[in-house]
Amino acid sequence: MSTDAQVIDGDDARVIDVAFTRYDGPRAGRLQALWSLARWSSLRALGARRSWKAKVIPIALTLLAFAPALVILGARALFGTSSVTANLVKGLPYGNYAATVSIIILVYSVIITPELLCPDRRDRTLSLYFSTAISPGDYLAGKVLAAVLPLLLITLAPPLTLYAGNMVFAVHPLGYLFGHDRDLPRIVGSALIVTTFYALVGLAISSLTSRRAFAVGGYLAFLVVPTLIGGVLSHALNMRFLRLLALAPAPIRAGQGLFPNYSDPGNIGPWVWGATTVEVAVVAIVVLIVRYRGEQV
Amino acid sequence: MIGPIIRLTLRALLRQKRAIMLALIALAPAVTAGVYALARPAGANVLDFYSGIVQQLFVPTVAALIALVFGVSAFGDEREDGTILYLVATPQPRIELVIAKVAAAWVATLVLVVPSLVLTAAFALEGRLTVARLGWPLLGVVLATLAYCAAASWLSLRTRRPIIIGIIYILLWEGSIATFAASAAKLSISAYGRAFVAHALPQAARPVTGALTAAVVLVAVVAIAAWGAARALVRGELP
Amino acid sequence: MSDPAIEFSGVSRWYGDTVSLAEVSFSIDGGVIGLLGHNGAGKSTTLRLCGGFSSPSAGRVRIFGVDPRRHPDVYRRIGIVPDQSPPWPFLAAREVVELSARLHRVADHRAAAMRALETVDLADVAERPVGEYSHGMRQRAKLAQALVHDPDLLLLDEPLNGLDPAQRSHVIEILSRLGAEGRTILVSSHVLHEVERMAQRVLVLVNGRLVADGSTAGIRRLISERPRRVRIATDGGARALARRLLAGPEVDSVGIVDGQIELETSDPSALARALPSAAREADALLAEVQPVGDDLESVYAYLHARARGQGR
Repeated sequence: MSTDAQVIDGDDARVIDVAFTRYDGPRAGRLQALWSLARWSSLRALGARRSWKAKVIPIALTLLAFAPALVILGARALFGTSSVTANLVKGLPYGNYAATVSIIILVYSVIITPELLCPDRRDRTLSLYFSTAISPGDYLAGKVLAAVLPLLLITLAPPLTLYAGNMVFAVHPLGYLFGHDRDLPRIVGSALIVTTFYALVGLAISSLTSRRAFAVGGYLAFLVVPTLIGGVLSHALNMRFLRLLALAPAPIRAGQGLFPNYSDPGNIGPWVWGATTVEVAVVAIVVLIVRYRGEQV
Repeated sequence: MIGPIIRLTLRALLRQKRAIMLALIALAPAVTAGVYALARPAGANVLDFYSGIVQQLFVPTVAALIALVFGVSAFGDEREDGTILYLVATPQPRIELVIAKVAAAWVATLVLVVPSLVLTAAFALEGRLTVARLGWPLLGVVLATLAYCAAASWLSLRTRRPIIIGIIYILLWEGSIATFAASAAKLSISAYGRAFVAHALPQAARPVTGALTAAVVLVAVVAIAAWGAARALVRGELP
Repeated sequence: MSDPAIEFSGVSRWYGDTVSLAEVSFSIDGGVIGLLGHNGAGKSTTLRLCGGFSSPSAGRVRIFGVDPRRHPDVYRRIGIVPDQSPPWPFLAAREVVELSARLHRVADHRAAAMRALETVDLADVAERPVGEYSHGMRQRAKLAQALVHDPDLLLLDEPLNGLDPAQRSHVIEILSRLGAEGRTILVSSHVLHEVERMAQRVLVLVNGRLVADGSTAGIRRLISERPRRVRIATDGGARALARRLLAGPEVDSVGIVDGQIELETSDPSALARALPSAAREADALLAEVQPVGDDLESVYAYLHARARGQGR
């Protein structure tokens, strides 16, 4: 809507027409529309513009995800360089951070992803979206971005915080930076693997129903139940490859493979976990495309 | 008048693809047991496997999840779309409404989990299946799912995010904290459900309490949750 | 003396910092009452309090003398048509209405359901799931489930939404008949001319406050500071009459519209006394003298503007 109201001037008076007029100003384009959708969807899922009750769980989980980093950095701040703090730092290498907070990542993604898709189906606002310049593909891209951004808050920000803190507390910070320069892209890479997997799987399952309760149940069942089955069967039958049924930790193991000193209890290589991660992610993408391909205005 | 409400709620819960999705989840332990039966090595300890699958997969995950989803949906679906008003604007005592909804969620849960447990026992134990080895875990599942359904129904009337809180309880509290803190296990519904498994299977992990105490605790959970839900219907804000 | 159907005593309802209703008091017993107000005025809150779906933050709500939240038995006498969709869309309309009858403890629920469905003209399509109905049919299904147990009090939130003109007339006729039988019907609606057709009394809410309560004409009479507009049709001599009237103290303003005089007066009685002599002196034959703006829509618009601070 134009902000320039129509003015009718007379000799000694004027009338300003503030009725609705067509927007003729500059248009920001598809990317801006996509970004706007992603930004507001993720903020909404985190409880923005809602009561404190909608915010408390995401905030609490975010703090829990930061807890290991804060504990280690707090100990370093209090006790300086000592054997205790050295053991603490060694006890949580960057590659293991996601595994340490894996349950937090799972619960966080279970909370966020159904909120991004289910309400639009239930409230029947999809047709409103598609009556704008946003295509179904744009909508999906925006929602994937909306899922990834909050998840990066707990997969990327905490290990980066730990890295920054370790650098600050190091005897020679610059030396630490140069000595651990490869850790930074590894941290980013593993966070992106974990985040993208959980985002895609969560969205794919949420796209199948309009009820959040069922999306949450289905998402959890899809990740947790095969993990438990794989654990039980691989132990009972002594077949280590049955552990590949563990879908929940698959991307975490794949991300750990980017770091040196990778080890797996079942001696399954990181590329195998990576392949599992990619296969499931591809299936998730296909489900999303199929679900939204037929959406029309 | 409880009967018509139970039938109506059962129809709402078990229709369409969401019931199929939950049925697939319910069958997971049975499929696992079937794979085990086909592939197990000679001399494998079937009681260990059966005990493990019931204690680690069936009670705390499969049965808990299904009961949570049905328990939340019994009132939650109608609360979400506002049609709970039609039920509340009747002369039915509030506690009867709650009992009907919890009963429906419980029956829907049992429809899915009981056959799965029977199949799991049959596949895993084969010739070593006895009434006690099926009956005690079944009793534990029956009572634990009733407690989950009642608690979930109460949550659905007291909070706008019942499923999230239920998931946090099941995954974080019961799945993590209660597994390594014995005192926390006393606040875990699945721990009391697993106590019945230990009654029949010595291989089972040490239970938090005996079967009788577990039964009393679970029934108490149901009674308190039902009372709380009825109170929420009287005092709470309905859409 | 029996308790009134609805009694609000100093009722306020707030949600955090938002005041939805502020010190509303009224008593209703019998007839059709229109509940009017702008969006956010508090109409739905009022209906929700009447239905027992919410508790007042202050004050007291009584339905037939009891708090419906603590005495669910009173729902035998209440029928509700809320704004929400009809219940249980996977059930056929007949099943929905029969279930409603059973839940309200109607003796012969099947017969009662058929009667209710026939009343709202859904008997022919009663076996179809409610979820497949059009919007208007769903409204009628909601009305059927509210009528099935023959309630003494009906609470209706926008019951005419989605109905075609014939159906609207039919529903208005039903509600008017029920009101004439002595039942209490509280109807929230934006369609003022239709509320005027069926409601003998209106409650007007503005910004959560009750600003008027009574018949349209009664409210109109009480709004003394608002000048009355009158249209006068004459058989010749309109301009002369207009000049005469403008010279007198009874008239605030005069205009000629399409050959007819339209004037504003703050003293209708004085105008009524002065008009015949003014017409004689102006040699004008009075054909029609008609008040303008006494309809519900005008009254409501005036009340609304006044309560929101305009026109003071």
